[in-house]
Amino acid sequence: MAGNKAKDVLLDPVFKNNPIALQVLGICSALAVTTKLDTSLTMCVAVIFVVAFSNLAVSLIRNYIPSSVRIIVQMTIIASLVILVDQVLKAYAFDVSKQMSVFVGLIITNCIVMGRAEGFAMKNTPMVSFLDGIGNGLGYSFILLTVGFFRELFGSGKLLGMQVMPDAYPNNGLMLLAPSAFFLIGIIIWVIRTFRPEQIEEA
Amino acid sequence: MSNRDSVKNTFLVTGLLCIVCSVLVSGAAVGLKEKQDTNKELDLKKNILNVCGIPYDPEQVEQVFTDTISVRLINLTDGSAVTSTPESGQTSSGFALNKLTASEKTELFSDPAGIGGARENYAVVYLYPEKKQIILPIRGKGLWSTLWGFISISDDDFTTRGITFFQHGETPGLGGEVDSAFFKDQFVAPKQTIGDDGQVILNVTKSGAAGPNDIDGLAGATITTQGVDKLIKFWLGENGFGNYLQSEDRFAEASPSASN
Repeated sequence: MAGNKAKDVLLDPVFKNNPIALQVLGICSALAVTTKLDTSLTMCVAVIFVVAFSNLAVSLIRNYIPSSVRIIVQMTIIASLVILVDQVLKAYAFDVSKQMSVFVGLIITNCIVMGRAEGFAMKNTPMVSFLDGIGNGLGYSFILLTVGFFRELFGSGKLLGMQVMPDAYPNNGLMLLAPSAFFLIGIIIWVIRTFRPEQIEEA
Repeated sequence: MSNRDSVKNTFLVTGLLCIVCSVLVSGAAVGLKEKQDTNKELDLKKNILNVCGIPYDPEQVEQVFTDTISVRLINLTDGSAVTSTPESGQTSSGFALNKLTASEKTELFSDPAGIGGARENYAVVYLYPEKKQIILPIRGKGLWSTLWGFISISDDDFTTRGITFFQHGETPGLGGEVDSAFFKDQFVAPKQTIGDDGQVILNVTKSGAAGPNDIDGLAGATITTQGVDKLIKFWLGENGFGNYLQSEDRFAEASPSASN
């Protein structure tokens, strides 16, 4: 039972209850950092780290957090973790962190992190919350990497900076602009809902 | 748990949390500072190589830089090269703007570039002897932030060779396009920067660069564009590097790494 729950908590957010595709949270960073696969990848790792550990920390002290200041307490934890990630990126992945500019800092405002802390970690035990954080991070990553893959492939003809498209391929500039991420996320949502009709909302 | 909403507990929890978080954050900031500074310095060197159009292997930036670029400290007031270390201890390799004392800066009557009302008396310039290029550090206010960059001009006729902005906080996609290829490439083609009378004649215009000395500005980023225009005019003008550019021996004894 416990094992099952852990697995569900970890894997459900990837397809069944994806934070971007079903809950439509965290869209803004999904538009901003997905022009290239390596920035998407860095963003994913950063978000998984932040969601997982903010969930863990919030869950650990959930019984002590006064309800009047709980949002502020969660924000403080999340903000500290994000600064930590930002500092580490600046030290070990300077070029990528430069390309991502403000968007690392904006993880603080990513609704997924806040939503999981308030909606899940406040009511569940630390271990399960930690897994839930990783799961939701993975769900977010799944969308980001898919979008990043197609945008870099068709937008610059490259993958992770390596030329993969033949020289004759004219780069599609639209793929590098934000609207293309909307198109791609729309298509992903369509595909997921075709296979999982229970996600379709009543019109 | 009944007292968890009490005033005492609220202060206790938030207080403890703040201490833990601040220790974590400051620990990371201090512990990683050295590594970050190395990265920043390397990034600076990469930018200088880029603005000169020198090809390099990302692994060997340090080596290529010492082989091709010569660094020197100059006195902005009279344009002379500083050979001995000034009393402030500023050198070409260790230059800290925020540590300047009152005697090391000059108040500006007008501050078009928005650099805080005063200009430092000494500045570091980079020379690329092989192609006779002078790389000048430039900075100035855009819309949200101060833009930091380099401009490279030819020593022979003061035409542009390149520009780069390595640090800014302008809106991504609008003002942030100052570091896009479209904008920077316009500086790679030679454009006259300084007229015969020493006035700066290079313009970064609103749109549709008309004249031979005009740079096409950024659409949707009027204030950033104006900022770039002003900061170029300032740094190449008499209050910036103008005196140095009018001096006789800009390249005297300049050979790579000699001045390091």
